[in-house]
Amino acid sequence: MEQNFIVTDEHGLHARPASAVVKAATPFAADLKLVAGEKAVNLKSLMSVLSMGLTKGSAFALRAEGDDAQQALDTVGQALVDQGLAQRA
Amino acid sequence: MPEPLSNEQAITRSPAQEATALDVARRLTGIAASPGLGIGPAFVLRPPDLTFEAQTAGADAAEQSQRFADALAKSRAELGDLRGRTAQKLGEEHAEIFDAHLLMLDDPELLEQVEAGLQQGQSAETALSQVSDTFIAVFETMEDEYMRERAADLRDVRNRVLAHLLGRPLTSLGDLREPAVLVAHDLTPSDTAALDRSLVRGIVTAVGGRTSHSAIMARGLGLPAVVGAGEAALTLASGTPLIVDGELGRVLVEPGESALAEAQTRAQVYAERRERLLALVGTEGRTRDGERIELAANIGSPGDLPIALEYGAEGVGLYRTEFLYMAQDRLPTEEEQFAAYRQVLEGMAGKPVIIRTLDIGGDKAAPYLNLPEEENPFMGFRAIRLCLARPDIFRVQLRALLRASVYGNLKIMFPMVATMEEFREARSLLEEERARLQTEGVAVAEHIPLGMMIEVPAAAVLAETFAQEAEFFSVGSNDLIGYAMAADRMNEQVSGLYQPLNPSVLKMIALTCEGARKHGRWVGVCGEMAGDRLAMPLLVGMGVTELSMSAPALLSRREQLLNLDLGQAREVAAQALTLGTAAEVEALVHQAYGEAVAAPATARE
Repeated sequence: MEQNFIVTDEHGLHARPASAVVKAATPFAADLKLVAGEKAVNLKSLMSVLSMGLTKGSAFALRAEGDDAQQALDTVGQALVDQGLAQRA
Repeated sequence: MPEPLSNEQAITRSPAQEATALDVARRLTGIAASPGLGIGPAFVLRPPDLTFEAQTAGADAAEQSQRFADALAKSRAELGDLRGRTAQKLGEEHAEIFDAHLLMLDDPELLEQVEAGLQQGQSAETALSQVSDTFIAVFETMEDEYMRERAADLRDVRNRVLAHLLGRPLTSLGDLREPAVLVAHDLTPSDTAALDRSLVRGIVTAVGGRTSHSAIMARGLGLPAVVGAGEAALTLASGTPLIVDGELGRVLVEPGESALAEAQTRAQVYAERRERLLALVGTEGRTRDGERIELAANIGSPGDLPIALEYGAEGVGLYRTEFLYMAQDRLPTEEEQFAAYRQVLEGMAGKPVIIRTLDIGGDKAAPYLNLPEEENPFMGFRAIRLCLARPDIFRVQLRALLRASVYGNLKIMFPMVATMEEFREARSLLEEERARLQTEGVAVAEHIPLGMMIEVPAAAVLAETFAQEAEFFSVGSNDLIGYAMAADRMNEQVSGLYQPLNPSVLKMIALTCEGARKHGRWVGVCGEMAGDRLAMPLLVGMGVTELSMSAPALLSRREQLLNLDLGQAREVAAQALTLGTAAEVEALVHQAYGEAVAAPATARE
């Protein structure tokens, strides 16, 4: 399952708030991916997330597969919004 | 563009400085990153030797895997400790960066790739370096400065693990037991966390700029700092007495007794002033009798904005766009320029932003333009001359500016204007681009005030005529002084003639102000004179109403202004114009304002 987002933070998906999002993703068993354009990276990897270089206004999706996928999407999506990084599109 | 003065030039400047200079064995010049004066012996933090022999095959995977796991565990424990100490010392917000470090350490992608390397027979050092360097390279190519800084974080994490693998513990600031001036290549986030505020008197780094981690942390901690002082800083021996001058951007090495005594007095005065000055952030620049003087910042890129705002800039008085052209080996595109201009306009949130069109050529080269070598580049093909001869380049910038104009309070000024024709031609190119954009349906601000720099004496003398058409003037004092005195301040044979307070220079500025006044225009100054403690009262007295300077000088000038009486400033300025020499003007200013300008804490070189 997937959910779409748009980056709202002035500095894009940058380290401190992105850390919080990665932390939120880590406990889930589900396979979590951050998808932008052609690229899909492991959402539990801070470096992969940062290396996407998503800037303000970029569109991306969260993709989750596995038992707790729905719960993972909800939690991580909320973390993105709480950190002021992105909004649901 | 202001250039830092070299030692020799500083010596020729004033007798007071000569005395100081003779008393100092050596000095280093860098970027003033955090104001204040720090005195103490050097504590040199040398980069640890983390070199190792690369091994790409034949290592025992199980053994390397165990080594790597051990190094990770030790690093993790250290980071947890650092996180706790930083939270205590600097607050939770600063500590969060170590959460990112910890996550990098446990990053599944990184670990997976390292493990793959180990399985191929790489040593743990080799695998870790290869994988992290790949990520570092990605971060370093990113446009956003905040993202580029992540390269520094990852390097920091990599070095920590490497140090454990190699059994060469990182020299830690935790070893600091006595008060000292910290000297380092650059400070990593880990260094800053281990830094004991009560022992560190100042910071000197070999590399970095005003927005580097070291500079931001130094300001956050209220420690005087000079960054980008060059690798020579690292050749200092620990224990060498130093004075860090965070306002002038210089480091005095082995100062003698008199320099030391002077610095100690200044340091104390400074510490007391700091509190007072910080309270001025957010206030409007006004003289004691209420005359409004706008205090603005000079910037070179959007990255300079946070500092400008930190020091209470009421606007941007000079945005030097040439850095956009010098940063790459090609011309910046319209989109790139638009993004930068818009970012600055939005960042200033409605406060005035004066963007100067391209001032390249002369000493500022863009090799890709293949400009011909010139006998005398300062009097040659540069700035508006180049732009008018190359409308293909100029029009792109004008379009970007026009498009950005709807995002804030934009004013545009042209550099190096010497004749009315130049100003008119530049203006009509702008109007053509405006018309074209409007035909394309692109929004452009209805009125964009159009001004010019006063740098060429011809323009200063004819200011009244120019003021019929130019909506404001900004005096580029550095070039104006150089052209008026026909002296290159970088040439030590004649730099003594480069005299900001020479009555002839002042007279040109006075002429500019009179000419502007007759047509209801205003005059600003965006050269180094604007931030100069001695020159400032004269400029205000002559009728300058906007002063744009490097951000760290803003608060000192704001305070000086609050103590300045406009009536008296007018009288002093009028009297200065009757004097014969720069030395006489300087004496007059000292006599008129005494203590207010005498303290060398903010005297300019």
